[in-house]
Amino acid sequence: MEKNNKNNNLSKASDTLVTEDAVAVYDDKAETKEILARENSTGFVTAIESETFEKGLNEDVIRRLSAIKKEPEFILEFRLRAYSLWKKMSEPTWASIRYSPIDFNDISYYSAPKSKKKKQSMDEVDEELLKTFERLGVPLSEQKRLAGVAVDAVFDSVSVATTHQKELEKHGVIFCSFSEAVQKHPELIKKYLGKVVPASDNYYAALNAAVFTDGSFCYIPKGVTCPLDLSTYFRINTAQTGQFERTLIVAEPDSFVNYLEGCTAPIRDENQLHAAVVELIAHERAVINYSTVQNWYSGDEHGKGGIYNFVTKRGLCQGKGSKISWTQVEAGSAITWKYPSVILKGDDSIGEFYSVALTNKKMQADTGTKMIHVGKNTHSKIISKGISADESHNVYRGLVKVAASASKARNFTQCDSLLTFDKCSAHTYPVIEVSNNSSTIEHEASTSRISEEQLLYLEMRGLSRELAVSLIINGFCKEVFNKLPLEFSVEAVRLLEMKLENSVG
Amino acid sequence: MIYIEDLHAEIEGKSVLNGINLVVKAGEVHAIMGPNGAGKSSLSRIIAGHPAYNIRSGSIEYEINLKKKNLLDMGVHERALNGIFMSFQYPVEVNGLSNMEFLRSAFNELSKFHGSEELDALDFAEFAEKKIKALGMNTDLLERELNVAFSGGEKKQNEIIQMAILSPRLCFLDETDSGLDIDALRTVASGIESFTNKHRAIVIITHYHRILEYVNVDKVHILKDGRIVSSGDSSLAKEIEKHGYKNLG
Amino acid sequence: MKKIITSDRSAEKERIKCKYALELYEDFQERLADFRYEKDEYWKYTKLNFLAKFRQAPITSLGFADANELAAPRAEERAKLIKLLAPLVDSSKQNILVFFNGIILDEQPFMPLEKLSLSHEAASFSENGKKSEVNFPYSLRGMKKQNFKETNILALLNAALASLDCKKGEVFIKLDEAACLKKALHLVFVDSHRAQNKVISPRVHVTLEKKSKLTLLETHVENHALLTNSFVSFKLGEETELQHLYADFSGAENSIHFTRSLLGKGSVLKSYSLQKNTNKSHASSVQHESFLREKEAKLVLQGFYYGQGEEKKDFIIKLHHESPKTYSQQLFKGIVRDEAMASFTGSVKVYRDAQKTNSSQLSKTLLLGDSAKMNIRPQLEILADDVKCDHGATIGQLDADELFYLQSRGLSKNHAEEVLFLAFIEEFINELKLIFPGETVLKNLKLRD
Repeated sequence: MEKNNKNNNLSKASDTLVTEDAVAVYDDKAETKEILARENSTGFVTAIESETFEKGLNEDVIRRLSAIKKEPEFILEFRLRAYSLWKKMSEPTWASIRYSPIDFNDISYYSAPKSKKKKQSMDEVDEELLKTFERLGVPLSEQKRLAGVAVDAVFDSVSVATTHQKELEKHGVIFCSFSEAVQKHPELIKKYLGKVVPASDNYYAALNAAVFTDGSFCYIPKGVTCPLDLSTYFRINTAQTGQFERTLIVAEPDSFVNYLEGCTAPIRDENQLHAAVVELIAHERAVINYSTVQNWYSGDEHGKGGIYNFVTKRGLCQGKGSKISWTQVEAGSAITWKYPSVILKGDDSIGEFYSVALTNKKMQADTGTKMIHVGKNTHSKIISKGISADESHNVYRGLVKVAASASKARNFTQCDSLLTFDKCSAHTYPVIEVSNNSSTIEHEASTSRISEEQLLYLEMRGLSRELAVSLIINGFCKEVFNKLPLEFSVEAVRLLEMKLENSVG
Repeated sequence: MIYIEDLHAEIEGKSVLNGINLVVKAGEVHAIMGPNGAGKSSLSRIIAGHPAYNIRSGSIEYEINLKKKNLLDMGVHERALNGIFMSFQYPVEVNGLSNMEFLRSAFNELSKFHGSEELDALDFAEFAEKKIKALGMNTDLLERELNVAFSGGEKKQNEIIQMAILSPRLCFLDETDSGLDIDALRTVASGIESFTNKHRAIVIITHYHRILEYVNVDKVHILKDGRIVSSGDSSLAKEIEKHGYKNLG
Repeated sequence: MKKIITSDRSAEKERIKCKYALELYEDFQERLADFRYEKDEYWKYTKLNFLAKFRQAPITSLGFADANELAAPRAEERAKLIKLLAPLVDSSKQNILVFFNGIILDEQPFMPLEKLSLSHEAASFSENGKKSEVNFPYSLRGMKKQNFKETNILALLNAALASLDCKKGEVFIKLDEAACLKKALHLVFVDSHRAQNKVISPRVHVTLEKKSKLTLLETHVENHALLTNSFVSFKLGEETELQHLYADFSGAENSIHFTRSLLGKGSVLKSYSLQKNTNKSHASSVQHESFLREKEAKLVLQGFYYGQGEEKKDFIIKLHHESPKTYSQQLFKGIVRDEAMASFTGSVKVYRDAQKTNSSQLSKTLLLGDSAKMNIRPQLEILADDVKCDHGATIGQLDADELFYLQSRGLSKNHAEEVLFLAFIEEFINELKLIFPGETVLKNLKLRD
């Protein structure tokens, strides 16, 4: 009658909760190989692309990688230290997700940036993809860029990006690829790299630190309000960031930046494993709003294929009165393992986490946040909305920790789950640890479902079923969508509608 | 406006209507009374198109703008767009969805259907507030989530508000009076009263005589065991009040 | 490690009669060998320092090999015991069963008892005195028969030590179909100096046959043992009702209390726990696990705890909604002050078949004192889609304005605090008063010494 596992360990026990039918059963190795084979056999390999490392990871690979990228000594040291740490670590198993083991020696850790062959017109683009674009309302120019179609001069995202770069330079904002920043601003990289997410933090962070290929760097000088929302859309050299992306954002005192990552269009990537690291640092009274819309390929209805998304995102509210806000709409990936967190070190600092995580088919998402209160009078707010459909598995996992030093800390957490009609599951594991008696913690959580009764009620008032579902989902996620930039939020709504279309009613 | 002929219906294999005949003309207000389990709520849900019911035989013809339509062929939201409204005895709660947003969506769907102009958020708010004030009700309800944490009275008021905004042609009000205190009952009743006109038919479904003291009705029907056993004017309701349902049928 | 015990085994065997105890104890020692509570997600908030002393200890150094001796205590012990318990019990309203050092007394001091017959075998204390086989999964015999592996390390220790004397270690209480005692059943647990450095391991099973009803009080007082490690199980048959109050007013240095229950169709279990220890206690853990096995089973679980000094209070709740239309409601309220730490882990699992389940959980804590700590871990695992589950938690302080208001009306700060504490737990106490009217245990609840 009791099926506790050996140590009665709760987080371990949670593993056993994933019932067999909710887990993708497939031969992952064959899958990985197939994907990698595909990568190597793509017919578009041109002369500059030829350099791809043999599979496998060792110190030599890291040295060569660093040498090719012409990195300063301290980066190589950082990588090697991370690698030696990583070798001693083991893959985390506490998350409530199931996947076949990843063979880290079956991955090539460097492939020179390649420019994909441009299609000549939209006619060459997959019809299914075009339909999706249309329904999401992605502008034509953007559609072209995403589909890899050559874009005419006026709409060329590169030229758009160049215009933006000039505007940014005027204000002293640095926004470039991580590799570029290593070359041009080594002093900044040296100062901040690994300060928020040290290589020792976790298995995937260590792996990323050892082998990261590229990513974004962003620096907002003192007192500057970034004149435009920074988006990975606009960054030059964005073509291929690889599977080990690294992003670092530094906001100097009294600065402000909105940063947008990802897009609603379904992105297929040939790399199955993605282990990114994002570090944010906010100095006195600086504000960083980081928004993500993630829609990586999530595999088919049998759970075949799909991206493994293991991300470490963390922000440090270093200065007094600083603020970091994470907003995420997670709608893709076969596996999402992600806990954007904030360390509230500066007094009066604020951390926020707004999340919508939608899972359908056989997707698995284990996501949430950590709010670590260290400074006095620090405030944090967590709003998490999980939507599960079909046979998917959706987990909220969170930690609110109030250190003894964090007098008058406040946290408000609300995590709600919405289930639709099938064999899905929704789990919630919030942990609250409070060591300061002047703090106030409030936590609310609920689980409910879109009921036939609700849909009928709305239909009886003249709404079509689609509109009824959309209104309910919208209502459920409203607090999170409100935090996204307007055009992003419109797309996010449509994205969720599309994803749920076949799952409800 | 609606012609129901020899309607037999069941739910989960259990028969609930056993040959209903009912004609309601535009401009009329009818009351359907009856003991618990007589089939009153079933009748209104069948009119609105609730999918749980199985129609065994009979017909429902709905006449609107001089066109006759077979109601049973129409889907739930199609019926709503064609002017059929049923107020719920237990309105459903939808977390997160604001009442205002819901009403505007429903209103705009209707506008689209009729080819009239849709209203943006600001114009609609103005329009809705005017309607609600005219009903003598509180506009605060608009800002809240649909029926969530509404008191029983507020839920009933909200149904009347929806009716006023969607301006339907045929209204079935299911136990709109139950669970209301006397003040709430007056508000709801005067809402109904102000809503009558010659293009519109209203059917009040009630267990008690109480609401009929505040609303003038043209006809009263007594429903028992899925059949209409007696019809008459409002004096019939008074009789029921005195003698109960026992002697009927 | 295992070898050492095995070599001791022949000698031990001589001294104790029950082979099963040794088997269980070996399992326990094996588990203990690589058990680090600080690293264990389940136990990390309970300070199980004492476990280090148990490593490789012979079984007889922890438990009592001869329970007969305890079941019939010496006259002066008996007199002392009666004096101690008299103010806590009320024999006009309660059937009182006293457990001494974990063993039920042969001759019960507080009479009269309703028609209860007692037995230690796998039989019942039934109203009509007739023995009948109790097929209960947590009974030692049931465990052995069904080859049930106890996975909880301390529950395993309880089973091992309770079976040390296979005759008296375990007690069965059964209500026959439709039975209903006029008086509540009050189990009182007390120990003596003989328990010093020992582990007290009461093990009680309560079975309610179809449509029977019972009010069960469980009080723990006076404690000398190194660890009190009690295990109580309930099996609720169809449409039965059990009201259970666990009250701990002991000064136990370390105490672990297990309740496991199995709920049948339409049964109702209301279980309350009340903890206010008089002395400084290191670890105290209340572990409740319920299986809402059949449809429409209903569980109300409420707890109040008061942590002071350097106490560690830990609640671990695990609920399994296994069938449709099951209901659970949890309310836990605590006051944690000084350097005390309290933890609440509330796991609710709703199985795929358990549609229309309704489950709620609320934890409210007042955190007072500069070094007081509180940890909360709600864990919801939902596999069915048509369910309503919510949980909430708050951690806060006494309202400064309210405190000021009361003081400005002439109350001392301590008095004002006491008044506000009582207000904080009023809903809890009111419910207890309704369910257990006039029960003496409530009188012992004084806050703010």
